[in-house]
Amino acid sequence: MPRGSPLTGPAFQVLLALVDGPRHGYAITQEIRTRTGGIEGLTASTLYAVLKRLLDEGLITEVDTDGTAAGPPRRAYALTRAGRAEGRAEAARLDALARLARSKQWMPKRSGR
Amino acid sequence: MDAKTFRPVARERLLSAARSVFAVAARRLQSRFPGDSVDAVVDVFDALQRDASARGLMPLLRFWAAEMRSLAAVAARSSSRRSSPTMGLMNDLREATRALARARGFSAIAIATLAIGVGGTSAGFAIFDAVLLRPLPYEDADRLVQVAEWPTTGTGGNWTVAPAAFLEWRDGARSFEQLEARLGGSAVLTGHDDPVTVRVERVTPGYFRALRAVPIEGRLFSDADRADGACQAVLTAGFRQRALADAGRAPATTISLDGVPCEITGTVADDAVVDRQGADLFLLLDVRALAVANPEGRNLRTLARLSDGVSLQQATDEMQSLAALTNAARGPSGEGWTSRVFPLRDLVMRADTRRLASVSLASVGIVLLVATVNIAALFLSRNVARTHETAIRRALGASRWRTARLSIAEAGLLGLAGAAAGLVVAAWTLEVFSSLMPAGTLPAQVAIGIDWRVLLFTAAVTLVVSLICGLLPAFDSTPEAMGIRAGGRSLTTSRRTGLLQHGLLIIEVALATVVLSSAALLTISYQQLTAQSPGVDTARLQTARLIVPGPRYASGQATAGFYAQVLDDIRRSPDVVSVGAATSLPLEGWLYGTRFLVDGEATDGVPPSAHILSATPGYFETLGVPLRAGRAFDATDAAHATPVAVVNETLARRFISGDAVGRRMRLGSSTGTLLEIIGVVADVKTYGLGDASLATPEIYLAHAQQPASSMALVIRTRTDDASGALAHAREAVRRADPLVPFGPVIPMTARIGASASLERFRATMVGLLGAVAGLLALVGVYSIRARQTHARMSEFCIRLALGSTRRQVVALNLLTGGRVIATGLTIGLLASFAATRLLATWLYGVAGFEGWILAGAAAVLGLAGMAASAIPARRAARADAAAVLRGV
Repeated sequence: MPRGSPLTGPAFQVLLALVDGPRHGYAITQEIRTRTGGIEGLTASTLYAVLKRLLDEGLITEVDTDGTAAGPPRRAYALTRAGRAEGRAEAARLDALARLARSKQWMPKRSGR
Repeated sequence: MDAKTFRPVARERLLSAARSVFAVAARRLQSRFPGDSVDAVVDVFDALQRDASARGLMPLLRFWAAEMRSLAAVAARSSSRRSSPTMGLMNDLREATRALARARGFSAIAIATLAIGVGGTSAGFAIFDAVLLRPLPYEDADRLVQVAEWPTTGTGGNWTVAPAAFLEWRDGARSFEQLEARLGGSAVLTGHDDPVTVRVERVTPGYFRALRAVPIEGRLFSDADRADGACQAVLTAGFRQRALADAGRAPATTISLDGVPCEITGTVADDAVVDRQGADLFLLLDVRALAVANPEGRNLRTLARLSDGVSLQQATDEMQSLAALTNAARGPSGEGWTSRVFPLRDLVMRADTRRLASVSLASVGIVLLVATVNIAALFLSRNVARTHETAIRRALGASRWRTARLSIAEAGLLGLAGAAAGLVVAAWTLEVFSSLMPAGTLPAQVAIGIDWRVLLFTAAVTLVVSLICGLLPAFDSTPEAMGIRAGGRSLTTSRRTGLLQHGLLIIEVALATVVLSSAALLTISYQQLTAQSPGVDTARLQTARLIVPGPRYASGQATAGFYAQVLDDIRRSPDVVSVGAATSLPLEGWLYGTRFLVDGEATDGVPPSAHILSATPGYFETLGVPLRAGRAFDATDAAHATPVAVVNETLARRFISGDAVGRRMRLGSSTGTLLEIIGVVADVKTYGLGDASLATPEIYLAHAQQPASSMALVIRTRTDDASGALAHAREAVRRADPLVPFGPVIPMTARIGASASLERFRATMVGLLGAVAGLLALVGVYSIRARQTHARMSEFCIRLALGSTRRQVVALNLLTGGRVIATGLTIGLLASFAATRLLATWLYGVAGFEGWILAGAAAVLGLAGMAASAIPARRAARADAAAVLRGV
């Protein structure tokens, strides 16, 4: 169920990182780093504060992954239905905003990054 | 600096320290994270900081800064949602974070200054701690001692004991659980492509048990091992790695030393070598055989473990009465000697090393003080700039404590950031320190790095500095009356602020003067030292040490024959001007001593002593040591000819009346060999360039008559390119005996450079600190004077409006600054004279004009200080009076 208020940047990034499936904390930061070409990174405290908020709002849920040879079981996070809906709503909102910005010629040229 | 130069151990400690700090903070904010996920938060933090540190130091610092901001943000959110006793603190911190983020310049300068001060001090403490505070890395290290024979008169002994005395002591002494002997030396390792010389420490079988050393592999010597049995060797781990693993094959089980096969019984850590000379491997020492061969030669060193409950003093008392007994029975060789017991620590950490550590800590401590003063001054100025804001808060009912809390919170945050950056500075400083330090300055037992003790020290220092800086403005806050009146404008700052600022400036200038003038003294000392002549002509002079393996050269004749053949061969090279050899070279300080008697000269009791060396024909000519009288050695001084000696000028002058040439002398006691003095040569520097005042009597013997197995070759080449001559020399040695190693070739100039390397290191180190302290002081002078001038701007403008010239305003400003700087310089100079006493043993050739050097350094600092305060003064004079007075 959409909340009606926009998500914060970090929260949206975290939701996006979980689209392809459950991930644990460090993997989320890595996903965000690689996707943004190393420009945006989350600090550990921001990440977990965001996770806590998303958990409280029911947008994500905790899942236990099996332990691997490399280490003990780690807690991973997965999107809930509400989370997917909220993410899509946010994406649509951002898209509308972006279209508005483009119509006012505020968008940067697409060459390079 | 990037990640590669950042020492791995230091980095690892830094990262784990950061992890611990973060964990503490994260636990406090537990409620802000998903249930039981604090460990996961810390793990992710650790993984992220490792990623950042792999990218380099700056990314790591940026990551830490970002993480600190996030923590503050998370904390702020958590405190705004609940009411708790920590809420006020959180509010303060949040407010301080915002305030600091607004004042970026202020924050950056404060953090950088703190980082330099705290970092330098932590590095200094790390050295001080490793050298002076931490116990040696042995079990019950404080019970390890060494016992030595010590002359009853004169300045000091050689830390050695004669084999005969050692055996008596071992049987008689009750104070020691164990008393072991050791003897340093060298051996030729063959079986590889080229024979190499290795350093050998021969020890009695109980040595390792006394140290409580455990083998890394194999076994160590035990009391069951017999020194007269088959050869056994224990390798140090470092040597095993270097020599045997380099060969790229499985570790050998035997090695060939001096042509004798030795079984490798085990490997031991490098710090099992207590001697500062170092060693590559251990062999067994047969004290009884030595006692038969040369019972009175004082060449053994000892290692002993005190029995339970026996103090150093008790052991000393016992040894002195024991020595009195045994020496009485030894005849003349025991006369004038007693015994002393030293903690092993005194051997490992020489007095000079300890002084180095103390001076390091003292000088970085001064830098820290200067930095603290700077930051305190910055805080004061900031407080003044905030007078208006504070006054309004106070008027609205905030208590004095409430307004002070903000500045304390700011100081705390800056302290945290400064300490983090300071640890990086400390790691870097230690790295620079180790790279500048000449090899062997610190013993192998000292591992310098950043450990939890250093972290604790850093935390404590930061806390104190932050408290001082945070609390100082609270004492200064007197804005009740002045702030709000006239819209917050006043003509000048309060009198109290002015006094505080001037006090800080005076302290700062005084401290900087002390460090700078010490640096000047050391630098000029070093220049004086290197300007000294070593007594030889160093141009195109190469040196290389040869050692013939003992067993195959048991007879002196074989040894002398080998050297004569090698020298003749080298002399034939067209690239060689001349060649010679001696047991020890100038500046090498590696000599034997002997007593001597000159026929026809009276002695008052004990015969005088002199250094004794063997030299070959051609030695003095090659070095360029002038002959003062008679002749040097030549081919006629053969083994069976009349025994001859050449003495140095000091000996001839002090102990022989009239002409020395042709006189006869005896070595040792009255029954020793009778020698004819054939020549007198000029003095050379024996221990270092600085030892002119203690020129020692020296006796040179003809090598053919007194062969020694280890000789240093000196070769004067025809051209600057020595390669041809050296290749010929290497070939000559191989022709004479392919199993004799040709030691490393060292140009004489390099030997001289190396002999002053410690002095250079000290001068560089204190010089760097002096530069930092001076620079900080100038920044301080500038920033305080700039603030003060700014605060008096209205006054200056009124003066200008009333007819003062701009020149007069500049002069007024300079006069204020000048008075403060002059006071600081005066106090600093007085303190410098006291500091000179601490440095006294490091100084050379500056006696009599230390005062001028100190004054010179102070004058430079004073001029620079005036220049720094002239900038704001000029600015004041150029001010737009109308704009200032209108309050724009």
